[in-house]
Amino acid sequence: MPLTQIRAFHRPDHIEGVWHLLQEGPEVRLVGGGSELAIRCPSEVRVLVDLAYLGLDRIELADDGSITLGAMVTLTDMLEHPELRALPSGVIQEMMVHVGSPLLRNAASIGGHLARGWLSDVIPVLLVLDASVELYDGEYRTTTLDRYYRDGIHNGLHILTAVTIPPASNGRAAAFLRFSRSAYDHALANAACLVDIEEGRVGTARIALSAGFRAAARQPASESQLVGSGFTDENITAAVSALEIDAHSDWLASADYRSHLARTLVGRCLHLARERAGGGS
Amino acid sequence: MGKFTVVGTNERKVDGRALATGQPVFVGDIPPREGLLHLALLHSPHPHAVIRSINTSRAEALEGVALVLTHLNTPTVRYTTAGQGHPEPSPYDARVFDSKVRFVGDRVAAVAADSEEAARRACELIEVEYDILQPVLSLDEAMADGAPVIHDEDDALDVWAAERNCVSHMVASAGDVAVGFAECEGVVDVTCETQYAQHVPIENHIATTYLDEDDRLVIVSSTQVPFHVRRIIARVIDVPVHRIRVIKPRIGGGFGVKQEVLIEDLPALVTMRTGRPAVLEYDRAQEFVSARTRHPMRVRVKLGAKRDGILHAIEMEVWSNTGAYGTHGLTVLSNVGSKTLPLYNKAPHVKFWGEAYYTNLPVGGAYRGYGATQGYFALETAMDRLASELGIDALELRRRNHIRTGETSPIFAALGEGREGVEQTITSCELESCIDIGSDHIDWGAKRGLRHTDGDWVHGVGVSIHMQGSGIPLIDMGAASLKMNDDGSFNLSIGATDLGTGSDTILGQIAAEALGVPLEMIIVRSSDTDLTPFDVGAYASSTTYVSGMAVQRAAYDVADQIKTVAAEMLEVDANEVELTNERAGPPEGDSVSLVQVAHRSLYGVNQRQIGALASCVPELSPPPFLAAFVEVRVDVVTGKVEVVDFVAAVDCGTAINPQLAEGQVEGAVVNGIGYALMEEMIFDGKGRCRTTDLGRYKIPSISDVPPLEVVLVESFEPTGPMGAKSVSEIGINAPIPAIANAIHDATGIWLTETPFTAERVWRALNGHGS
Amino acid sequence: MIIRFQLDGSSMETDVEPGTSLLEALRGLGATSVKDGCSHGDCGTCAVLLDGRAVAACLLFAAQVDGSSIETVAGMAGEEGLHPLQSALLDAGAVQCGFCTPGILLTALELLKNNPDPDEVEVRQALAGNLCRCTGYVKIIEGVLLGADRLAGAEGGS
Repeated sequence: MPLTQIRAFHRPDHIEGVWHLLQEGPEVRLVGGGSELAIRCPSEVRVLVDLAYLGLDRIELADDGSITLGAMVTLTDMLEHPELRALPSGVIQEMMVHVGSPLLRNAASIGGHLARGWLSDVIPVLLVLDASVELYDGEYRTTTLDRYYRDGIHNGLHILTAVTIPPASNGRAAAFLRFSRSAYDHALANAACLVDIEEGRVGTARIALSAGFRAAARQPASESQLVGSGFTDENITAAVSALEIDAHSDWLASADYRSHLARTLVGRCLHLARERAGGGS
Repeated sequence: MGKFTVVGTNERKVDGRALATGQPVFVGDIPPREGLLHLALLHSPHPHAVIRSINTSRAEALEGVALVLTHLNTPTVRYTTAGQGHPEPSPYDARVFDSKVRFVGDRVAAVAADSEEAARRACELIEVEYDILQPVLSLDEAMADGAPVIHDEDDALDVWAAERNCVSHMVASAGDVAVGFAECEGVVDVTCETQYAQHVPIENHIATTYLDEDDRLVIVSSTQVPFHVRRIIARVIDVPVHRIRVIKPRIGGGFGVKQEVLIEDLPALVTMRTGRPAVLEYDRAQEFVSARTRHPMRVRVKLGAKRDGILHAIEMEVWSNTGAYGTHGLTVLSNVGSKTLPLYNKAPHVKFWGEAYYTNLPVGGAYRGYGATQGYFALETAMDRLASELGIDALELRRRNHIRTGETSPIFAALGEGREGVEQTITSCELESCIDIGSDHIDWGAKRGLRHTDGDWVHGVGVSIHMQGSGIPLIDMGAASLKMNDDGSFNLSIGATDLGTGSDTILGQIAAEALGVPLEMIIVRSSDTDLTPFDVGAYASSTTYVSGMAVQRAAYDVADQIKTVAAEMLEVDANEVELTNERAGPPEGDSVSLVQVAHRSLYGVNQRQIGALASCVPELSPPPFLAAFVEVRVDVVTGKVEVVDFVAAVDCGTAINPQLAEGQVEGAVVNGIGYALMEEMIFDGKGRCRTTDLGRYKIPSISDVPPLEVVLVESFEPTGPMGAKSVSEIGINAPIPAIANAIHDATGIWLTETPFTAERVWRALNGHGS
Repeated sequence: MIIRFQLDGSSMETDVEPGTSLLEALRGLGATSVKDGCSHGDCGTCAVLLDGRAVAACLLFAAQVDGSSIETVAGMAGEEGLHPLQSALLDAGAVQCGFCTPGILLTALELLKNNPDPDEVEVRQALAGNLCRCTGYVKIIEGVLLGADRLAGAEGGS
C-alpha cells in the first residue's frame, strides 16, 4: 500500500536546497539509497528529499592515502573497492559480506546507514579505522565518527555528506566478529579491533563493540590496558575485563548473555588481530 | 527399477516454464476486475475480551467504503476453519465474527472499499468498546484450577470439556504399562517442550471472489483444499454448493497453513452482498498474528526395556496448546502418538494419553509433520537416553527395536486421526538400509563419542529414525478423470492440489507411464471444483499415494479401452496388446499409433470417447521411513550450534520423480533445522506476538543450510501407485531429535526445549538448566 | 509525479504518488513477475535489476528509479526460448512453488554477470537475501552452478 501521507518527493541538485527543505521540520526526511522509510515511515513524515542528485556517490583518494566516501556510496561499492579492500587485514570485506545481502548492499548508502545510528556491523569497523564524518548544517563541519555517536550529533539536524578513513600505517592488524541467531540476521553483539605493534609493544589499540540496538562505541578503558604493553594473553584478558558494556535484556537475548558475547567477541578479535600481526607478544 | 520409462525419471515440472518466466499464475497476479473491492481487517488488540459495543458509522461514511462486516451483520453459524473432510474432527467453535475475541489478532471487523488505503483507513475509524477479560497465556495457565473459560459459548460443538479449556482428549493403549515397566531393567522418563512456530509460505494468504456470467460465486484462492473450501463456505455463508466454484491456481507454498479455510468467507460475503468482485490478502505480519501455527506441546515419554535393549513398555503423554480455537486440536494430538509409536513395535505394553487446551494465543493448525514432529523430539531423545542407560550404542538400540516389513503394531488399530485407527501390516520398509547408508555417510562408528574439538568448537553426531503415513485410511478420497484426444494426448483432470510440491507433474507421470506416452502428452488440470473431480486436497501426505492411485486406476481403465480398440484394428486379442512409445500392439507384430486409435474411436467405427473416472479411498496408510544422521559442532563458549553435515536416507517406495522427492525431503529437513535452531514466535506479557516480520522471525536462509544429502532408498509398496508412498512431511521430524542427540554427544547436555538457541545451550552448559 | 524508466527494454512513463514503492509501481503496471512476499526487505521475492544491480523493489521509492533501467524475469527469456539460467534451475529441480523463483533468477543473474564462475560459497553469499521455504536451497545452489556452466559453455561455443 503506498505511503499516502507523503505529499512531495524532492530531488535538489545542491546541498543548500536540501538543507533549506530539511529545516521545515520533522515532516521532512532524507532518502539515501535503499530506504528504511519505504517500510517504516514515521507517521509525521510528509516530504521526502532524495540525496541522489548531489554528486555524493564518489570514492576519492587523497594524496596522504586517506579515502573519502560520498554519503551516497553504496555498501556494495565499499565491498568492491580495491583501496578499501586493502585496509588492514581486509577488515572492510570481512565485515561487509555479513551486512544484509547483496539486495540490501546494492541499494543502501553508507551515509544513510551511518545516520540511522542503530546497531550496525559497519560502525564498529569504521570506529576502529578512526573514521570521521563530514556534516552539513548550513556549513560543512567534520567530526570523528566516535564523537558523532558519543555526543549525540547523529540525532541533530544535519546532512551527513561524507565519511573519511585516514591512511593505514604498515604493521596494523584488524579483526571483526559478529554473533547472530542465523547467518542472515542482525547481530546480537559485534566487535572490531585494530592494533599496531611497535617493537613488541602495542602502539595503537582501538576496540569497538555493540551489544544491543544502539550503535557501537569505542572502549577507551579497555584500549588503555593494551597501549604501551606487550600483546600478551594476560593483557588481552585485562582489556576484556575493562570493557564497559551497555547491554540490555530483550526478547532476543538477556543482558548477561549479550555481555558475555561481547566479551567473548572482543577477546577473540584481539587474539585474531595478534595472529594477523604475526604473533607480537 | 528399469521397468518404468516415465516414472522414476526427473521430468521437468509441468508448470516449470510458467513459473520460471514469471507468468501471472498466482492469485495476486490476476488483473483487477472492474469494481474490485479491497478488504482490510480490524484485529483484536486484546487477548481475551467481550465486544461491548461496536460503532461502524464513521467507517461506513468514509468515501470509497462499500461494506463493513462485524458480528452484528454476519452469519452466526459455528464452524471450524480446519479445512478437513466431512464430518470434521475439529470442534465447531468459531464464527465469521464473534462478540468475544480470544487472541490478539482475532477478527473484529472487515471493511470492503474501493482501495486498500480506504479500507485500512476505515478500519481505524471503527469504534470498539471491549470488556477486558483475564487472558490465558500458557498451557499451565489454561490447565490451572479456576482458569478463565475461553469458550464459554453455549453453541460450540464437539469441545471435550470447555469448562476446563480442554479442546480434546485422546487415549489408546495395548497391554498394561504399569505391569510392563515393573518388568523392565532400564527405564527413562523424558519431558520435552516445543515452541510456537509459523509455516511462512513465501506467498501470503490471498483469496479473490467474483460473480461469473451466470451469477455464480467464483472463489480463486491460495488454498490446499479447494473442495473443502466450497463445502465449508457454502454452509457458512448459506449459498448452495452448486452456486460456488473454487479455483486454485499456482500457489506459493502451504505447508499446512493453507489447509485452513482462513479468509475465503469474507470476500465471498462481500461479493454476495455487493455483487462486486473482492480480494483479501494477508500481509506478512498477519501471517504471524492472525493465520495458523504449529501447536506448541509438552510431550512426556517413558521408555522401558529389558537388558537386551528390546523395548517392553512405552508411555506417551501429551499436552497440546491449540490457541484460541480448536482447529486440528484433536487430530494433531492423535498423530503425536499414531505416527511415532508404531515405529517401535516390539513393546507389548503401550499407552498414549493426550489432551489439547485452549489458550488466548494464536491458533494452532495443520503444519507439515502434524504432531509427529513434536512427538519425535521426546521419543527419539528418550531412545538415546535409554541407550546410555543400558550401555548400548544408540544406533544398535534402534536396529533392535524398529518395525520391519511383515510386522504390525497394536497402535495402528488403537490410534488413528482423532478416532480409532486401522489395522495394518507393513508391506514395504527399507529402514535397515536407510540406517546402514546414513551411518556410513556420517561415519558413525568413528565419530560417535569422539568429541573431536577444534578451538572452542566440539563436534558430535546424532541419529533419529522416523515413520509417517501416506494419507488417512478410510477417510481420504481422491479422484481422477482422464480422456483421450485426437492426437493421442490425454486430459488428466484431478482434484488434487499442487501447492508447489510438483504433484501435477508426478500424477501426470503416473498416467503417462500407464498409457505408454511421454509426459508432454498428458495435459494436467487440477483443483477446479467445476472442472475436476473431487479430492480432499493436499494434506496428510496423501497426494502421491491416494490421488496417485486414483490416477493409476483411471489410466489403466483408459489403457484397457485403448487396447480394446487397438485389438479390433489389429484383429488380435486385447490381452496381447501393450502400450508403449505412443503405440498399441502385441509385443511382436504390427501395432497402431494412439492417433489412429483416437481417430477410430472419435470419428470411425464404434464411436465413443475413450475416457475414465476413478477414485481411491485407501484402506492403509503405508509409512515412508527415514533415518537421519547429523554432525553438529557446538561453540562451548557461546553455546552456538552449527550443523556441519546432515544426511537423510528415506524410503518412499518408488520415487515417481526422484528429483521432486528429494526436493520434498530437502525442504522439510531445512524447515526442521529452522524449527530446531532459530524459529520461534515470541509473545509479550499481553499476548502480543513480537516476531511479526522475517527480520525478527528467522527462517533458514541459503547461508544457514549445511551440506545436506538426501538418499532415496528404493522400495516397492505393493498397494501404492507404481509402488510409491508419500514423502512430503517425514523429513521435518528429524532435525530436532537428531540435533539434540548430536549436541548431547558433543557436550553431554540434554536439551528438552526448542529451539536450541545459543543462549539456551550456553545456559545448559553452565548448569542453569535448559 | 511523472517518472520515466526502461522496463525490460521498453520505455515506461507513469504517474505515481510520491510515497509509492517501486514494488507497488511495478505491480501496478502489470509487472506481476515481481512478487511481494513481505514488503519489508526481508525475503527477496521483489528483486529486480536496477541498472544491472539486484535490489529489493520494496525498499525503494518509485521516484528513485526515474531515468533508470529496470529488468525483471519477464524479460529474461529470449525469442529462442528460456534463458540458460531459467533452464538450469528447472533442470536442477530448483523450482517448487516458484514464488521466490523470479527474485532468485535475477539475483543469480547479477552474480553471474560479475562472476561467471562462482563457487558454492559465492552462490550462497549472493543469494543470502532470497528466502525459499520449499526447496531447502540444495537444488537452487545446484541450479545456479549448472546455469554458470551452461552460460560459460555457450560463450565458449560462440
